[in-house]
This record gives sequence, structure tokens and C-alpha cells, in this order.
Amino acid sequence: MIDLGSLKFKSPLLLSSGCIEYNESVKDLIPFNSVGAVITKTVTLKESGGNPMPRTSEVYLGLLNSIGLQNKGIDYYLSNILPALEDSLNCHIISSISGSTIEEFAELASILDRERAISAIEVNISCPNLEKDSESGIGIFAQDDYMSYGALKAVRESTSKPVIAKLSPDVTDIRSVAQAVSDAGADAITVANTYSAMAIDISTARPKLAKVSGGLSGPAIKPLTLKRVWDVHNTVDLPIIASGGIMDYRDGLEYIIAGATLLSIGTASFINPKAAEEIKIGIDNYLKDRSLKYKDLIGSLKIE
Amino acid sequence: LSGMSTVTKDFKRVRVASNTEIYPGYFIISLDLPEPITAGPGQFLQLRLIDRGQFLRRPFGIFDHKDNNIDILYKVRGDITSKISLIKPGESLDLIAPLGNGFDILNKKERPIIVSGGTGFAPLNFLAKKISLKEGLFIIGSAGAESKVFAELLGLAGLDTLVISEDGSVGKKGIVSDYLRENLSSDSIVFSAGPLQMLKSVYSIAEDKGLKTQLSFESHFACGLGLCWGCAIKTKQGTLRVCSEGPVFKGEDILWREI
Repeated sequence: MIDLGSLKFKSPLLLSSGCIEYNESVKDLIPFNSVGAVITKTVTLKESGGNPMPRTSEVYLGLLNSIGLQNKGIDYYLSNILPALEDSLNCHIISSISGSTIEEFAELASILDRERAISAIEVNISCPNLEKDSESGIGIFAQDDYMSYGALKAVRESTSKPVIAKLSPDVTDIRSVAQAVSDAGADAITVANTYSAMAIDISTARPKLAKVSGGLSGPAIKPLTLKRVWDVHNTVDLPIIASGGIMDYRDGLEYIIAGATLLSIGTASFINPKAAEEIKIGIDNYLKDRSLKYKDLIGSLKIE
Repeated sequence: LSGMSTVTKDFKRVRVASNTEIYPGYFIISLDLPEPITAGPGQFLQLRLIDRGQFLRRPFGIFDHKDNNIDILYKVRGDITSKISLIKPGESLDLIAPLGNGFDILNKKERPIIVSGGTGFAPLNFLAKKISLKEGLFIIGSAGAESKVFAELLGLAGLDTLVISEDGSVGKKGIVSDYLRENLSSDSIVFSAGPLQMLKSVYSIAEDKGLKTQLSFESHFACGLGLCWGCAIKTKQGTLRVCSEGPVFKGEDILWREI
């Protein structure tokens, strides 16, 4: 068992938000019941139609996406998605939320606070695929320490459930944002969302994504996010959920040694649906071979 | 027969039985699965090369299928299909199948008109063989002479074929939509797969005559498993996933102006 505050996880492997859609047709393909938690696709107050096509493009060792938080809103989430998950899964369910104002974050958190099925709330202040709000001028909350603090503080005051802040890697120094969300009362930090990126089709001189840019995930980003996990680990005393290009158990081990407590698997599931399960086995074998305990590996980087 | 699979989806290593170039740049690869599966026309699979630097999987329509064998017809377009073309019999590939919802097979009163463009021929070949037509027409279009090779592959008794090439090298010169209207009757139902512009033309001609259509759409897939919402398509039922609710949709359900 791995502890994240008051929550206990039977596996350190989580399925990332936006990379997983539980339904009958994939229940035997994806190892839902052997993971520690499923982080559901980000829900917003109102329905969001998402971005125009094409929404994805493969790049060298990575995937660009601009889905745009497509979802049917919190009411549908509570009446349709959550009950099905509660009936089918025996791992933690973590709800990912996003809003365009601090008030929306608070409202979502207070609504979800009443739901017994939800173990924690991940506050997605870092989606790279949202438009800048024309009135407030606010873009990605996680690129501003004060907005990050405000969103997390509002969520903190709206729920007694564990609160996880999902940070953006696209900042000058992730340590100040980590400090801000820690000060606001976050219980854990997910490091990190995707990187703002783009690709161009040279035969047409057009962008490969309809929205021009999107978020980059996959093995291309792992060394970048690894450094950010290390930075956050050295800044705040909160458990870290590492999320960024974990493809196999060796990637997972690097993140744990750099300071991660839990590992979130996203793009890897697209290629190998059983990735989370196989990574768990690989880590267990590594620990057994060296007679190590999981918690002793966390942040155990040796520097001479 | 329904397009839905009756078996649990799984991914597994499959053995390549053969991989043959049937026309310059076009191959049929035949895969032997460890056990039999049930897959219907219009369903697809997600393929990945083992240890050859492929990142995301690639979707392919099912060209033919029986018991534990699946055939894929593919055109060499880029790095991955180029690498697939070099696979030798006896080597292995990593496969997830069957995926998606395929064609609903018609009731016997309707006269099927099947319309393919390019490699859109692949899933329609499987469809044509499954519905064992008494009468009907398969209009096969392509840029060059590949449509004639496709017609020969089909080799189906009782089914008329109309071969069309854009360059006029084989069959009739032009594009499939030029020859669709004159071959439709009031009891026709239209099945089609190919480029989006072709599907649009096919739908508009069929709709003009009040005929039903079942169309297989292509899209950019990241996962192909219904996980990521990368392959969204606007329909009267809302935004759906080509990989999960499709790839076959009824033409009348599509919001054509929004795609």
C-alpha cells in the first residue's frame, strides 16, 4: 500500500485524465482494476464541444493533441459517468476538474464534495488547449502563481476531499507555482500536464492540428518532466504524481527516484493497453531484486 | 449478422502468413491469429510493428477474415506502411482486433450498391463477400489501374463490378460519383468507403434519391480504442468517435456541413 495523505493506493500506477474513457468495450483491454486510481477526463460546469479536427498528430517520439476538454458537463458526469465507474471499478476514482474562473473551480469542487464515490479531486489548472478568456485575459492558471494559488485555495475551501494540483510544465520555474499551490492547501501535486507544441505539414504549409498548437505527450517529454519532478520534490513537502512520457518500468523508476510517489500513465496506454500493469510488475521486480521498500526509493537520487 | 464483435478484445502477437505486393505500392498481408475471432465487415484493427521504432499504432480495415485469419489490404504511404511492406512470412506483429462498429447487413429486399475509392476497397471487399449478393453492383474507383486488380481480387459470382480509373487506364474514365446516379434504383442501399470528398458526393447523390447510406469514415487516430476523443465527428446524435461509434455511420446521421 502506498499512502498519499489519507488515501491508500494498492498500486502506484494511475490512469491519467483525458487518456482514459471507461466503457464496456475496453474493460477487458485496460487493466482498470489493477491500477491505484482512474483519473477521469476533465469535467467542466457546462458541456464543452471540444476543438475542431484534426485534433491529434504523431511527432517524433510523441503525440500532439488538442482535444479541448470535450465533455458533457458536471450534471452528465454525475448522472451517467460516475455511477457506471462506481459499479465497475474497485480502484480509487479521482475527478479532474477545470474552470475558466476561480468561482467555477470552487463550484465544481463543492458539487463533487458530496459524491462518496470520488476519492480525490485533481485540479486541472494547466490544460494547454483552452482559449484565453477575452474578458479576464486569463490563459493557463498554472502559468501564474497568484491564479494558481487562488484556484487551489478556492477548491480547498470547497471540499474536504484530498486536492491534487495539476501543474503546467510550461513555466520559467515550476518551483514557485508548486510553492503557491502548497501554500493554498493542496494535498498533492501532479507534475505535469503536456507541453505547448506544434507541427507543420510542409507539403501544404498548414499546421497539423486545426488549432495550430496543442499539448505534447509521450517519450519525447520524459527528461523534461523528470527535471520538473526533481525541482518540485526539492521545493515542497507534498507527494508528487509524476505524469510525462512513462512508457515502461524504467521510466517509472526514474520518476520515483527523482521524488515521485505515484505514476500516471497516459499515452502509453494507447500503444500498450496493459502498460500500467506491466510497469507495476517491473517496479515490483526491481524492488525485490534489491531488497528495497517502495517508500525508500522515493526521492532516493544519489548525488556525490 | 451484425457488425459488433462477440469476442473480448485483446491484443496479441500474430504471425504473418504472407505479405504480397498485388499492384505497385499495394500489398495484402495475411495474419494468423492464435485463436479464432469474430469480426464483421467495416470493423478495423490496430497494428504495431515489434521493435522497429513505431510509436502509435496504425488502423487498418479488414479486407478479409475467416476463423483465425485476417487479411489487410494496404498502400505504402509513409514510414510505417513502408516498414510493414518489408515484413517476411513467419515474422510477428502486435495486433488489437476487432475494433469499432461495422456495416449493418441489409435486409434482402434492398439492392446493394457498393462504392469504393482507393484503399476504401478493403473493408467493402469483406462486406461484399459476407452478404453473398444475388444482384447488386460494386463500383470500384482508383487513381490508376489498381481498381481493375481489386475487381479481380473480388472475383465474386453474382456481383457486377464497374471499374473506374481517374486516368482512364482501365475501365471507365472518371470518378465513382460520375457513375453512381445512373446505377441507383428505388430499392438501392449504398455502402461506401474512401476519401471524405468522395463520401460527401456519394451521400449527396444517394440522399437526392431518398436512399439509405452506410459510410465508413477515416480519421486521425491516436489510440483507436475510444480513450482519447482525438477522432471526433459531428453527428445528429452529438459529437461521436470515429473509432468507437464508427467507423461506419449512416449518412443521414452526419452533420456534413460541420465536418
